[in-house]
Amino acid sequence: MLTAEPTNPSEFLGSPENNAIGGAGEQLRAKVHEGLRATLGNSIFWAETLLRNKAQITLRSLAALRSNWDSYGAPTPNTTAIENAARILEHMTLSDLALARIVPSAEGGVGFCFSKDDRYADIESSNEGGIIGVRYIGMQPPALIEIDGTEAAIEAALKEIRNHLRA
Amino acid sequence: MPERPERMRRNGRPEDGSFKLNEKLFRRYTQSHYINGQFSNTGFSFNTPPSVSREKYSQAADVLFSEADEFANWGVLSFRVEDLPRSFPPEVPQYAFWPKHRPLEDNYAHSEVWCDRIPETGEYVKPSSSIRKLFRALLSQRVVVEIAAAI
Repeated sequence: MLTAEPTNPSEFLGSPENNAIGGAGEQLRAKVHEGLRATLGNSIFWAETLLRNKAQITLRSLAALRSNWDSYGAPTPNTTAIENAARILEHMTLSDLALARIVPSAEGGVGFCFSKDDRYADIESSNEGGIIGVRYIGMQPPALIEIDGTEAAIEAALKEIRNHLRA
Repeated sequence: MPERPERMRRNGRPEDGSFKLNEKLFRRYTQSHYINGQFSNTGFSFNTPPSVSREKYSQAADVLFSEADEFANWGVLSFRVEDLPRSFPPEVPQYAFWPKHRPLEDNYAHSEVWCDRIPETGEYVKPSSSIRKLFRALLSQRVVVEIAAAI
């Protein structure tokens, strides 16, 4: 039989209940609960899992956008754009996930946007199947991030963005 | 129902192809494309000529006007005519961008940002994806918020 998986660390503990042990049991439960929360709460793995799940939910919500969502005729991100966006997501690290804003593209597609101080970069997955990015600092001329769609190129683009934001 | 400002009506007025370089062009936006105070180019599209409203015949708030009040809490941004390069990219010019007055009966200020190849074809030419990306980024660097979006 299928059962719902816990989605939050505290759910692994089950629900509190009274028994013959009484207060000592409750204290032990609270201590274990706190320990588990601290362990999982500080876990990079757990943090990355939560952010990745959140990003996947955002992607699904973009696929459900109505067309003309920007009031200027923007199309809904199509399956091609969403699938390529999911591939980009797979290459993202915890820090990428923490910084990225996932937005619909007015040209049709999905954008992963990063900004830190006066530095900006993005990767855009289009409805036409292309993946392209750009980066710039303040008012300096923007530089293209060319991506041929391969896993290696996506990885290289994200590395370029990390370096750009870090510099 | 809100009443359309009289200045928005065409009332038989002709097309006016004359734009000053410092004239503002207005456009609606929502917060989703503002990333840490920077407007993302993903909020612009040049698949077809994007619609704008020209300052000479309108006010920023006019682009939020709707009888059904569907743009309550949206914001308005602007860029200027001088932000549209007549030759782009600068190193190897391939395209020209400029505003075109395209008045509508209920929105006289309606205009579009046009693009043509160099040398010109007389038609709207959708730039290549890399030129579009660069130009959208360039334009996003220059936008100014006229009315802040609340959504």
